[in-house]
Amino acid sequence: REWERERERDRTVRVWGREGEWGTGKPGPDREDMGREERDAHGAGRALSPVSPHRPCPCPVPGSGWACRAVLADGHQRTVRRVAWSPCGQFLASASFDGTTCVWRRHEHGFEVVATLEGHENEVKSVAWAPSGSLLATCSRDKSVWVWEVDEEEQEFECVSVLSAHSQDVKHVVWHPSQELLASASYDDTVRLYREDEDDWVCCATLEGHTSTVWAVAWERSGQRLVSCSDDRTLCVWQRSQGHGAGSEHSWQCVCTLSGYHGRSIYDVAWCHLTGAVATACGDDAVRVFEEVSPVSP
Amino acid sequence: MAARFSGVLQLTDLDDFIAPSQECIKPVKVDKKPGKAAAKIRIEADGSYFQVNQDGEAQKLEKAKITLNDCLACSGCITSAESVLVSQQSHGELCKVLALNKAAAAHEQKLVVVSVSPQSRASLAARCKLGLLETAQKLTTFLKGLGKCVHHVFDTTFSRNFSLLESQQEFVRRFQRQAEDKKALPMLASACPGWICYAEKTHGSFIIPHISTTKSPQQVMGSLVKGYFAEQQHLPPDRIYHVTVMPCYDKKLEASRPDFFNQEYQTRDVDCVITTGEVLKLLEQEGVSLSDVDPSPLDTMLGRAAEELSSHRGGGSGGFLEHIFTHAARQLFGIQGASIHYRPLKNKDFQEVTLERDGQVLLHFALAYGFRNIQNLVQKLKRGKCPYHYVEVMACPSGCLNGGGQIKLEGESSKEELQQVERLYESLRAEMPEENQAVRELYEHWLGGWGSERALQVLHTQYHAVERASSALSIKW
Repeated sequence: REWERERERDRTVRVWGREGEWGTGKPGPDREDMGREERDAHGAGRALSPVSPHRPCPCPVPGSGWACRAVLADGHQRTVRRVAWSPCGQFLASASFDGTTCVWRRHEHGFEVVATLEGHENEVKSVAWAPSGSLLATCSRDKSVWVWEVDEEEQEFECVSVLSAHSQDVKHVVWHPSQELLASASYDDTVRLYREDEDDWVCCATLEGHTSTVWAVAWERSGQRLVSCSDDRTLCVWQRSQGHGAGSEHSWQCVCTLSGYHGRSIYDVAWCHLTGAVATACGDDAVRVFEEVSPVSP
Repeated sequence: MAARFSGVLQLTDLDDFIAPSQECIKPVKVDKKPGKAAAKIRIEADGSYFQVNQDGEAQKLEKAKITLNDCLACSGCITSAESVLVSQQSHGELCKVLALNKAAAAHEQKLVVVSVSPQSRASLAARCKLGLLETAQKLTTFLKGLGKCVHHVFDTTFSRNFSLLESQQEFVRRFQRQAEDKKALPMLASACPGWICYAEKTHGSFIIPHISTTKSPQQVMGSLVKGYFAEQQHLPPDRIYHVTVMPCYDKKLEASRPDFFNQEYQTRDVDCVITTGEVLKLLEQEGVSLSDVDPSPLDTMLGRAAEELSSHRGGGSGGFLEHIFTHAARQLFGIQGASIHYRPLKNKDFQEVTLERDGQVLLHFALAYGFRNIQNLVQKLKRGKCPYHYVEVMACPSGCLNGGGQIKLEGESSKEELQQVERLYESLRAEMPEENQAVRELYEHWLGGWGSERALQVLHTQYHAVERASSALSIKW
């Protein structure tokens, strides 16, 4: 099929902007106004540029008003699997099946590579920036999750921890909205959480419940809950509860399982930080939106 | 049995997915003789294969065999079936070998030598709540009682003297030729097989020139036992069965390297490696509590009974950084007794040491333990931003005392146990390798003198970059 051939040839990252708006986005906009990212069938990342904070989040009319502003070629040798903007909007990270993660810096006339993060044994599946912007997480089919620290002046990235908690391919990593707490989703049917402990990172929780690959995870804005989507066609909502006694670890419980709605594997999930709605991407060709129904008071 | 290779080795090419393009390529690497036409294959009732050529001649085909070495050196099929990797060397295997040896005819019986590492000894001492000397003496009795045919028990602290001396010399030589040879420095430690296997597979020809050619204490012991000791016993090397007790599983892989196989006598320098944990299993199997065992006098290779144990300073991974540092300070800059202050960097497994004079940095050394620090070091090297002259690289966080084969408690108390092991290890008197009388004698009388051709040949080794078999990996979203 045509799109497949395109994917094999195309190892680029494309950056799109609203027509006429290039360069007007102010640095450091509110999170609600941050560009969202999508993966398209071409395997290239499509990152939308940040929008001015004074305008409401636009809903572009399909096909109109967007132009490809930059094509970032020569960064990767194989499929680009995920892209992520840094919280400040000045950097873009791209994770590739070639085993590397490129970090691009944005400047007036385009983007340039400031660092290539090597070390994973094989395909890198996901990359994510911590809310502080000083940490980056990557995960790979080599079953490991790596945490990298950003050195702003040197524009260098050093590996701070290599976490081999999962027993299989790790599909997705995503940071807590405000804390340095990391979540990962894996082919081993679990979600794991990690945090810093003294001079290293440790896996502080394992969320078990899914019966097949967990494809993605999304945090609720408060950071008290997260939702995971799986190959087993269900969504699980997990809630953080206070540990018993001072200084003990939080524990996470599955408080809701949404099953029977999806006909096939659920590949992605997003939890809107404005409305609280949860959207899913499913292999049955549908996008679904879920809303939390308030419990009826007794 | 779950083998716990160092994290560095585990991350290298381990995967349970064997896609069609990733099948074992070893059987394919058979010497193919050009033939005129395609041969037919006939399968006999007993499962053996015969190749039948045009004239009807049948030739029995050899079964493809995969050994531990093949797996190590190849990146074709990737499997984490750990039972395959370590079944050749385990305490179970050792017991079998000893039993066979006991039952063998007198002229076929092998002399069994066990070399115990000081890290393993410290771990056992901590677990059995004994002092180090007691542990060594009781362990000697226990090991000699195994299968009733273990004849000598040595301490690899002895062979470590050679590794330290050779490393010191090698560093000075490299430092002196750094102007002509861009790859001379930094010199990277070679005692850790987890690091070596990783370096060969992942960074290959880029990093190999930097790795010290000095053999590890385990392999120096192998050369001494199958060389010097065999001669003293008037035995050929293949009539000695050499077992070592080590703090990790990676040492099993080191012992099976082709470079440490004696072609002439078809024997390995180290035949079997068992871990500290496996010794504990042996004790449990025999229903023996180490504290109840009577002590025996300690053996030494030169035949004199050892009165006490000794060690080397510089931490639980051999002390390479400290010995090379003080020796280089003396040889290169005339500074006697240079003091060593460790400066921790990003984490406690990454530390720096410098030698300064009049505000100028003369030597810049570092310790890099654990995978994340090895990663950062290698990346710095690749970008030409590595400021060090020497780095003591070890695969395990906290070094060899925390190796994957050591006896460990789970959870919180594991930190305390490690500290106890470290305290025990450091409690011994440290000696200077240069001052060991037996070492000097061996250099003079068996190695042909200090810095000789023979010393270089016996105490040094080489490394081989591993080609990655390029296979079309099926993309898994």
